[in-house]
Amino acid sequence: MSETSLWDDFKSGEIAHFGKICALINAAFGGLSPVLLKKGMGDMAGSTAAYLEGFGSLLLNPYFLGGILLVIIGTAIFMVGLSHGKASVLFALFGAGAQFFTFLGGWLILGENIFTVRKLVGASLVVVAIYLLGPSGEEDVDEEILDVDEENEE
Amino acid sequence: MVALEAVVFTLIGASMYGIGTPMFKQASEHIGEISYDLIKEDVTGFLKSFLINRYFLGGVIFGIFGWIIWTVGLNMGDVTIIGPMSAISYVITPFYSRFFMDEKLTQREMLGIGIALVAIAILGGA
Repeated sequence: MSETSLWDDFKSGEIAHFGKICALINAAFGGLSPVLLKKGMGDMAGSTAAYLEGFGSLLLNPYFLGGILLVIIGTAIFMVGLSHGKASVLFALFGAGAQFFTFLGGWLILGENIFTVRKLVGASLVVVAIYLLGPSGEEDVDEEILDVDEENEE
Repeated sequence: MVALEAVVFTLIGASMYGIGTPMFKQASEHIGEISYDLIKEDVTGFLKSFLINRYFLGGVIFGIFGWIIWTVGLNMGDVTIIGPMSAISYVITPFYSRFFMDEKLTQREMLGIGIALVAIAILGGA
C-alpha cells in the first residue's frame, strides 16, 4: 500500500504516464477553448467588423475570458508535461485530443451538428490515435531497449 | 480554388508552430523533469532559468510568429482547406525531434501519430 496519495505523486511528477496525462489535460482545455470563445462572441461570430468593434466588450465576457484562461493554463500544464515524454508523441496526442474535445463541445455546448460521415470518421480515428499514443501505450520504451542492449553487451 | 499565397502562409505558419513545440521540450531538457513541487520550491529561479534559455525563447518566437503567419493564411483561404493543411505541424514535430533531439519512436507511436494526423486533417476540414 503506497503511503503517498495520487495527488502527491501528480504534484511531484512521479505518477505513471505523467507527460501523456498533461497532454490530454491540455487537449481538453485547448479543445474546449474555441467553443467558449465562440459562445462568448455570440452574434459577432462571422462578422470581422463587428468582432473588431466589440473586442473590448468581449474581454468582459465570462465565456470569452474562460476560453483565453483555458489556453493559458493548458499550455502551462503541457509545458510541464513535455519534460516527461517525447515531444512528437505528446504533441500528436494533444492535437488529436483537442480536435475531439472541440468536436464534443461544439455538439454539447453550441448545439452544432456532428452527425456527418466525415466528422464521425475523424472522431473515431482520434479515439484510435489516443489509444495508441495515450497511457495505454508503453512508457519509456527507448530506455528499456537501451537497458536490454547494455545488458546484452555485458 | 485557394490562392497560392494562402497555401504558402499556412504551410510556413503551421511548420513554425510545429518547430516551436519541440523547442520547449529542448528548453526543459536543460532544467530536468519539471513538476509542481519543483516550481513551488523556487518559482523565481525556475522562471529565470526558462526566460534566459535560448530554446525557450526560440519556441516562443516560432510559436507566436508561426501563429500570426498562419492566421494570414486562414484569412485568405477557406477553413475547410486551411484546417487540414495545418496538420503539417504534426509531421514537422517528429522530424525536428528526430534530427535535432535524437528522439526515437516505436512502431506503435509512429502508427499513432499517422492516424492522429489523418484524424486532425479530416476534423480540421469538417
